[in-house]
Amino acid sequence: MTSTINFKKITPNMSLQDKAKLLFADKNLKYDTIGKESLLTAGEEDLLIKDAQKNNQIRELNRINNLFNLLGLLIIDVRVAALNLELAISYMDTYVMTIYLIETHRDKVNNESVNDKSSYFTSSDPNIREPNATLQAKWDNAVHCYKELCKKMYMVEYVNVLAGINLISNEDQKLLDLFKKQLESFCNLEGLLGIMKLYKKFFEFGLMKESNIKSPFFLDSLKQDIKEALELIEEEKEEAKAKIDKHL
Amino acid sequence: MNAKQLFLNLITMEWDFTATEVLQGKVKYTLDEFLRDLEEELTYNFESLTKEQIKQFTRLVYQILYFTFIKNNPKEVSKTLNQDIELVKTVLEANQDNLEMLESIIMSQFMRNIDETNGFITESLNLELTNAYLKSFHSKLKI
Repeated sequence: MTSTINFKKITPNMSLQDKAKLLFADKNLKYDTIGKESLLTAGEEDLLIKDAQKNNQIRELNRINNLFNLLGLLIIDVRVAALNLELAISYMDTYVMTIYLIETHRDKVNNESVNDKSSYFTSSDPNIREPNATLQAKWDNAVHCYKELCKKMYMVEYVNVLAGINLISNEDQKLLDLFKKQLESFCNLEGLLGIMKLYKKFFEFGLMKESNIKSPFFLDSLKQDIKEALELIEEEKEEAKAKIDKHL
Repeated sequence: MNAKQLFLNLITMEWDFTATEVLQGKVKYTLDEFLRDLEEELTYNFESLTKEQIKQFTRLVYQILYFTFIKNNPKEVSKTLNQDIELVKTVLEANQDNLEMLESIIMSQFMRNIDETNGFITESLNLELTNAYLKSFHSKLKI
């Protein structure tokens, strides 16, 4: 059995929110399918907009439309931030792998090409021992990228809250879910990031001193639970909100 | 009944997991838990001893097992702990399962470090870390 909705009949009783939901879900479907599919016909879309005009709802629809356009740009930002994080992780992975290979094959490696930087620590003496400075910098960079991605994701959520309806398309939602998993995997120190657990344990057992750690992010990550250290603080959230508000 | 017979007739710890499972990390069994269970076992077997005596005795048995794991030689263990060699041998004979379990707990710590760093920890750093873990545990026991 098939049924057709008579838009002419139902449009006058439709709330602004429902109209917006339909209009933007239609836009998203067109975007996801490169125009091959749509929810509304041109006539139905026109009917919804005309009814909104009649009921002085255009201003609100325009506001939501601005947020919809902003969201589109934000999704691009999120993608770039996710790529940056991926790159930062891979730089760190490569560096950890290099250190490990040199540490375990020191006797076979040309001494001239191996300097003090090619080890996890600068010294075996806990009093002066310092974590590899380049690795500290790479971790700092990775944390910075992680936080950037978190901020962009937070902005997306905030735009949706401001809109009062979900403006995210199915395809974009799938991407966002994927990035959430990427963030989780970073937080859980999966893969070669697990090397941070080594530093954490050395720190906890007093095998290196706080004063010998230069990078602030690195130190924070050792002192606190990683998830807590990486969480966006209120100030960062407010900053993210302010950036969105500025555009509206 | 002499001391040796007494020890050999003791009721020993029974776990619903094996030392291999602990080593493989399938079961998490810590040194604290091991010591707690050892103390319980000795309390059960030596009803006449006071709490303090049981604590001291538990520490001694643990030390004999631990130094056997490190030195693998009862004579050296008796020298290190300044205890009679016969006592050391008797304790070891009666505690073979406990020794195996203790070895697994310590080795599992080593394995966990490898696992958590996805194998990218060097052997020397791992040994340093495992020793630090044992040192921190022993400092609580004042060993």
